[in-house]
Amino acid sequence: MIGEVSDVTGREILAAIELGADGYMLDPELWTPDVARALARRDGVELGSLHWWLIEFVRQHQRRYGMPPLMRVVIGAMREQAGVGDASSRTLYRLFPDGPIREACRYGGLPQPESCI
Amino acid sequence: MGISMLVIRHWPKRGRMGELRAGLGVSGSRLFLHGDGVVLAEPGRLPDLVGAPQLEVCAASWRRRYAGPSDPRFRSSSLTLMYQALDRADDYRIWGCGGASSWHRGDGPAPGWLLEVVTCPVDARDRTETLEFVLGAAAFGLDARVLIRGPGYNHLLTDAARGWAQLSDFDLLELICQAPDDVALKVPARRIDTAGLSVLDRDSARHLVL
Repeated sequence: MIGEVSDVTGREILAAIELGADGYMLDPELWTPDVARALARRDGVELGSLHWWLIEFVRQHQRRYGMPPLMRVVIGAMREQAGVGDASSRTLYRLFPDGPIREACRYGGLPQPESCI
Repeated sequence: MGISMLVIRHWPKRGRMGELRAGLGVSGSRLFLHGDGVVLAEPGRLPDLVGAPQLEVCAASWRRRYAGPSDPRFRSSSLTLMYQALDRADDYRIWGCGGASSWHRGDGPAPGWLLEVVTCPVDARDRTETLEFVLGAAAFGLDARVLIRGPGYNHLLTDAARGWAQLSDFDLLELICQAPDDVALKVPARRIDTAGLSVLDRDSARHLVL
């Protein structure tokens, strides 16, 4: 999943999608991993393997349960599935300091989370 | 100073304002509005209050219903912050879609929590917010069980039931359901009968009827 998009390609990708005022994709069906790469590149974020794990986990959770996961669910899964034995909320905030679940949703092409849990 | 908490998830059209004002006149009182209870945060809706209660409105519930700002006396808040206060409260009263419930701290350690879902609102927002209220308890790590009874079991029948499945799939909170035997629930839950219900009532003293 890790890959790069150039500035030019990134701009082309972002020009082909529509973002809402808060930066979330208006049509999640148009999401591809390259969209995430382009958004991240624009934000100056380099997506590593753990970013991708989080984005995929949140996308799968949204598909299955109709909403993004709780932080404690992500932390538990990260310990068990991603091999980060000491995962904590700090681990997640290091990945996305502006809010790990919200940012994973944004880069993952999901709607902006509504809940304030 | 102890916390005296009022939580409103459903505001009846009439008859409760006197009780609310009295509750908010108590020292250390806090009011948290959630679900369609946020109607009380409409500018001009809540009269002048005696004392200085802390007034909070769930940001998500407000955003779902209103585009403009709430009464400036209200602070935008979250379910997690609400549970933080509720868990420390010396007493609380909650007005939910399924009725009112209250608790007052006595001697000895505070008992665990029982979140009771006794209705399944028609409004999709209200249904989602009932689940969010439960998930908020899980997010906060509250020592709680969830009891679904009466028409509440309808939450576990529709496509929206998948959201409730998180509780058991991730071992977040125990889900207990009293439903007719011939009803096939879409979510794993411990089935309970009337006798089991009365035992549960005795065991859990801090009830929240949502």
